[in-house]
Amino acid sequence: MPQVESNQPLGDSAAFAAMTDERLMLVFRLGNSDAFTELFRRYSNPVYGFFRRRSQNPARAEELAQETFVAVLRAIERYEPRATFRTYLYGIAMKILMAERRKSARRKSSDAGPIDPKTDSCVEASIWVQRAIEQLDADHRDILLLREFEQLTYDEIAALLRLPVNTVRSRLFRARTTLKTFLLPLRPEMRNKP
Amino acid sequence: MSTELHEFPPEEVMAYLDGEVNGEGALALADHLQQCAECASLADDFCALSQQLVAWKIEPSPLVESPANLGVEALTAEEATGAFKFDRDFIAALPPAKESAPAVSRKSSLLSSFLDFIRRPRIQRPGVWAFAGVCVVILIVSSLSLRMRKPAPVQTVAIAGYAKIQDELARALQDPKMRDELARHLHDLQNAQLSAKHGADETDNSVNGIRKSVSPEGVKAFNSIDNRPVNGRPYIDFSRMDSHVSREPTALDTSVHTELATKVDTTVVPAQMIERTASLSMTVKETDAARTALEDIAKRHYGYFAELNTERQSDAGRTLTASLRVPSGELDVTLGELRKIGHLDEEKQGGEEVSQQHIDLEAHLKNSRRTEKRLTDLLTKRTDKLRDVLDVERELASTREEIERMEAQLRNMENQVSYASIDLKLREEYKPALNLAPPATGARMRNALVDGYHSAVESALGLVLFLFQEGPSFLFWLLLLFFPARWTWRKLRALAAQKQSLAGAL
Repeated sequence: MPQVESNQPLGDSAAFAAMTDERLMLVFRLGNSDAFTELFRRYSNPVYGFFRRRSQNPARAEELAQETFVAVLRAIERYEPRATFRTYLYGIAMKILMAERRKSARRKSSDAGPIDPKTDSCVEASIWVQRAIEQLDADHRDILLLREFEQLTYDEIAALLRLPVNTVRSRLFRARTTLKTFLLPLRPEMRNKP
Repeated sequence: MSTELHEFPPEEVMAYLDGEVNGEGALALADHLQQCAECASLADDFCALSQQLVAWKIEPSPLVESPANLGVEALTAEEATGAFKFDRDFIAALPPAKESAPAVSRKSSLLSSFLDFIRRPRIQRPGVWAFAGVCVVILIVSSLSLRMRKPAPVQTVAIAGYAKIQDELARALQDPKMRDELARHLHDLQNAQLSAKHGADETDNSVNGIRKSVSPEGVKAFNSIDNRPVNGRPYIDFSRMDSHVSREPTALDTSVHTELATKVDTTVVPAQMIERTASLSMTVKETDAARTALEDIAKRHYGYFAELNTERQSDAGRTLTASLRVPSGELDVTLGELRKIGHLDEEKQGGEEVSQQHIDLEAHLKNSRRTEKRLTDLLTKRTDKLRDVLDVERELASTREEIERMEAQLRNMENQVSYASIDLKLREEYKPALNLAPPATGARMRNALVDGYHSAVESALGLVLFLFQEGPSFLFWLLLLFFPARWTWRKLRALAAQKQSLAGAL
């Protein structure tokens, strides 16, 4: 475990902004709450986006994002920087998402509400992309989203989903190829969009 | 796009665009993309796809505006146990180092971990709670059943039995006539002690077994009743007797057993069981009259003939052999009447006491029936493996077979005791008949001729049979010895001729 100075000046936002995620976690584990504030600032939007892209209910996505950070806080005593914090964070988020999907499968009727009006009011391209992605297989979709939106590397995706890297790569290739065919007939004009 | 025409597969191109190819591979792919229009087009497609996906924008997270809303209200339980509360003040109040955390916080951390565990969605399922409830109920029921299975206080029952015997002894000793009853009480007491000591494994409850189990000290205690009054009552040290109970007789026991047996057997054994037998050999004038008399005697004394044979020989009178079974109580009277039938040549009587065998057999039968019941209960209550059930079935069949065998022995023994057996042999006086009329001469000649013919046939048949029987071995030896005998004969003849010629020459 890397050594961290416990006499880190508190409240120094610039210093925290320069720190890596893993270092911030170690500083937070030593008792500095500003380190977690910095981590939360960095990852609140990505984590919310992670759930938002996988859930039709923005309020539920917000709750799940909250649960993710709460889980990080609860597990701070056990945290060890064996992997990148981003992988660690999305690993927690993925577990929460899986639990949510299992629960949703049981109460399908109550969860199957209308699409958020805010989503309907989004730009047309967003809707096209969203619906094209929804047509993908679940396995392919998860990998594609983790790569395209969470910007995880192949190794990180493989570790997260417990799959071989080659499987991740081949599934990602098939997902992209399939998505391209889905998007072409829907928005042919989008191909010309830079 | 075919991989045969390109140096790199399309997946490799995609990985390159994703930054997953490094070093020389990345340089080679970059060069290839500049030269290969098809791969460059593929790369463009991937880039365009990524740009299209960027169009799916998500509104900013509402958490960013108020990070303190991270579920603080929902974590009141954690507050109670000293666990996490997402607040800047709370985070600032966290211990500066893990090692300096007090033991109390460690305990609360364990508690909070447990609360976290039971608050997990998977744990909170009703099925999980129902399963936990069933487990608790099973634990309670099993603990209760274990308590109920504790052995009954046998010793208390035995002690109560002792007190009863003590009281009865006090009363009995006032009346000397009741002394005999004491032996019965002693027997019952020993039986109860053995039952308490050996429980369900009573293997020898017979009088013999009980008698063996009584030690000399027990007999002395029995005999010293009058000499040891305690609180105005005669006292038997049953505890001493109990402490000297043994299953195996000792040499010292043997002498004492006789003494005790006179006290116990005369009172406990209801009646002696004796198999009585008798045999009569008589000479009668007429067998028919004797047979009629025998049947009459058997009928009057409620007996029956187990066997009756009549035989006639040419140079002797008829012989009647019979085996008569009469009730044991009627034996003497029956024998007296039988003697009057004819002249008594020989008479034998015998008796074998089978009381002990009968009691032992009954005890064994009783134990076998108990074993059968236990096995039957075991078979009905248990649900063990098939092999165990088959073993119990096999044992049960063996026990039932033994029970049937012992029941048959018991019935036979009781029958032997209740009916005495009388073997009778009646010989009729021989009276050769005087035949005055000689047979005819023609008939005698014809009979002689027939006998001659039969004799010739028999002798011829005997010769043929002899040849068939001995011929093969005779031929075998003949063939075996023929050539050596001929060679020897020729040699001897040559020598004789040589000697004769020499003698002629001289």
